Amino acid sequence: MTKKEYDVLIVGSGHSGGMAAKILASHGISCVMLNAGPEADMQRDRTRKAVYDLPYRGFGKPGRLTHVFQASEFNANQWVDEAEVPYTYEPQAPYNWVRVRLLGGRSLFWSRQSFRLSDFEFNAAEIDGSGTSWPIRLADIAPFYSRVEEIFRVAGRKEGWPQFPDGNFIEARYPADSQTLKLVTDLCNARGFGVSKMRTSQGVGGLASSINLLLPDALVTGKLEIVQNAIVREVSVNKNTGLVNGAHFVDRHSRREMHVKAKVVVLAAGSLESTRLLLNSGIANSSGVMGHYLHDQIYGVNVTASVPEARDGKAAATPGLMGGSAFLPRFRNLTKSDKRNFIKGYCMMISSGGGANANMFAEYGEELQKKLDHYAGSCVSATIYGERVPRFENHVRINKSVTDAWGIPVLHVEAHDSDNEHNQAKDAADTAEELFHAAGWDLISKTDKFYPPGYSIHEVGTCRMGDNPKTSVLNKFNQTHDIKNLFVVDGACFVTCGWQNPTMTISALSMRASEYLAEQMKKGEV
Amino acid sequence: MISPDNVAEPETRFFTTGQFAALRKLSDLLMPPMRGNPGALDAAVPEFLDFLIGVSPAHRQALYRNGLDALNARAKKQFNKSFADLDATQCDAIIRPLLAPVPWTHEPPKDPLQHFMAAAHDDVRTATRNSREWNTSGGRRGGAQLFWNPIDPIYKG
Repeated sequence: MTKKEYDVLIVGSGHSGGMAAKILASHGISCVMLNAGPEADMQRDRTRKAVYDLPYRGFGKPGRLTHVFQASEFNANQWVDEAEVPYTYEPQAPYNWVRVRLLGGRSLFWSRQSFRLSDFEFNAAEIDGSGTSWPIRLADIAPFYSRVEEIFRVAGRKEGWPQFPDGNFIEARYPADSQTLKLVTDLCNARGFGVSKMRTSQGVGGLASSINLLLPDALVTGKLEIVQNAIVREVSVNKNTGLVNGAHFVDRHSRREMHVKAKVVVLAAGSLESTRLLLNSGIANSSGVMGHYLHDQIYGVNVTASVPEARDGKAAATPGLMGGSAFLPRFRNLTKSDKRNFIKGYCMMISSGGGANANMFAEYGEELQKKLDHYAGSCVSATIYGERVPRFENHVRINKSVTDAWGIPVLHVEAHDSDNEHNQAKDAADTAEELFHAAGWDLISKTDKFYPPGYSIHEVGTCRMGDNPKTSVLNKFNQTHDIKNLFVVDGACFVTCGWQNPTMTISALSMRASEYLAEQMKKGEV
Repeated sequence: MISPDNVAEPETRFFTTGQFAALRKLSDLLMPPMRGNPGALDAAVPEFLDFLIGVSPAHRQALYRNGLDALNARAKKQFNKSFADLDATQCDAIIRPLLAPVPWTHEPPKDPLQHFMAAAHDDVRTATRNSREWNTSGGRRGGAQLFWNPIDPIYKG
């Protein structure tokens, strides 16, 4: 019995795959979606447990998920098992690759911070004086950002700053600023740093995921079928036409080998998994840049100071003194006159009302407890997300000598930081220290360190888009230059990442690419 | 059903007698009962860490073994006693040089003994605060969260 051929095969079910399904199905295009993992059931799969009843008392099983710093013994089972789907790297260049294969992918668990990229990111080569710009500008993607923000119900405060483009926001209500926040804001404004508030996707029912915001719209059309536990090995190619015609996959439980036919293939497996699939398929890489320009964001830096008037329990007795948080979008390298020893920039989050941590002091027992009590509730701290520079040398390739639990060759990751990342972090730490000193607060702890590459869970690049097929894998509509019926709609397409959480951009680009694909299919061009 | 810890004592298996005695002493120093909360010994933290380190990667095991041996060696050298037999002032003399602020917890101190002290301090505090005793003392009912069970685990037939 010959199975039907679907119009489009979508690999992956996260924000990018879900958006592709929603848009394509709305145009009457039949889609089959393969997801590597199972659908989770929030009721069936979660139980309330006390930390002291867990086998490792909350520490987690040692050696499990060593690269997922965000993992805890409570959430360990939501992440991809590193033993089932390993990856390799040189010991001196660790990489944290954080994955979720459940239906909905990482969209189930993201932090919901929602920002647009600006032309400081899209036009990076001119702003930075180096590197490559995107083949699009904010104006090309703005209408799609607006539609995405409406779906996700993004709440934010408009500022009118070019480096922090305003969105199609629903009204955000922020508590009135505490005295300490007002002081920090005034000091920042005096230094030309714009201070705003967090922008967050409200979603629906506490969830802003593919499974509640995107997939239902596709499913209701009757034009989407989803297969869970389907692990794609290779995209298949028609040898005569050179066009893709489906994919080979293996069932996660039975290990049965299957093949699904489709007229178009859209990869949305997450940046590195889509690239891994293409590299294992040996296609769409005439440029030679596939796998290259891997980048993400530096997360780290911590500067903590204590407000003297808030110590020894006085914070609780002085309502309105402490509390709340401020958000500073990138304020460095916005003008040619801002001469720094780094390009690009970082955003900074300042929060008021926390305490000190035990590791900040060389004390123990009663003396340590006295210090913690002394500083409790009196601290203001700053941390950053900064933009890493995309470099050709930072890349992924296939490690043919290691395979995953289904025999699929794994990725080898090579990513090194440079002076730019360290200088950025140092500038941020020094800036926060100066601010807190100017406020009259006492520095308790300062570090300019940050997490390894990949920690941000915002890995992008490796199939970057561009107008030139010699230096890019995709065109500006996420279509591979080499094969017109093959698209990559997830973060792999990014040219630069900015400091911004990539979800809005990934979703908008996937929407834009899917609208383009639908139009091309109607015209018979694809 | 009740917990095994309600009916039975854990049996230590990993550390030597001397190492375990030093760990017991250290745990009590780092996290004594304070502010009406149970301390590390009330929460059976040394026994728990014997279990945890016993199933940890080799570098973690070496960190602890070498650290505990060093406490005993220094106690013997300075006071001619094992670490467990020192008084509070003597203990302080041994461990104070090993304490250091660790502003970025993912970059532990380069000195192996300072690294050990930072790790043990963090582990002792966490194990105490995650214990049944801590979370149920003083009428508290804390420490509960949603736990993800294995999701559609691979079929074994």
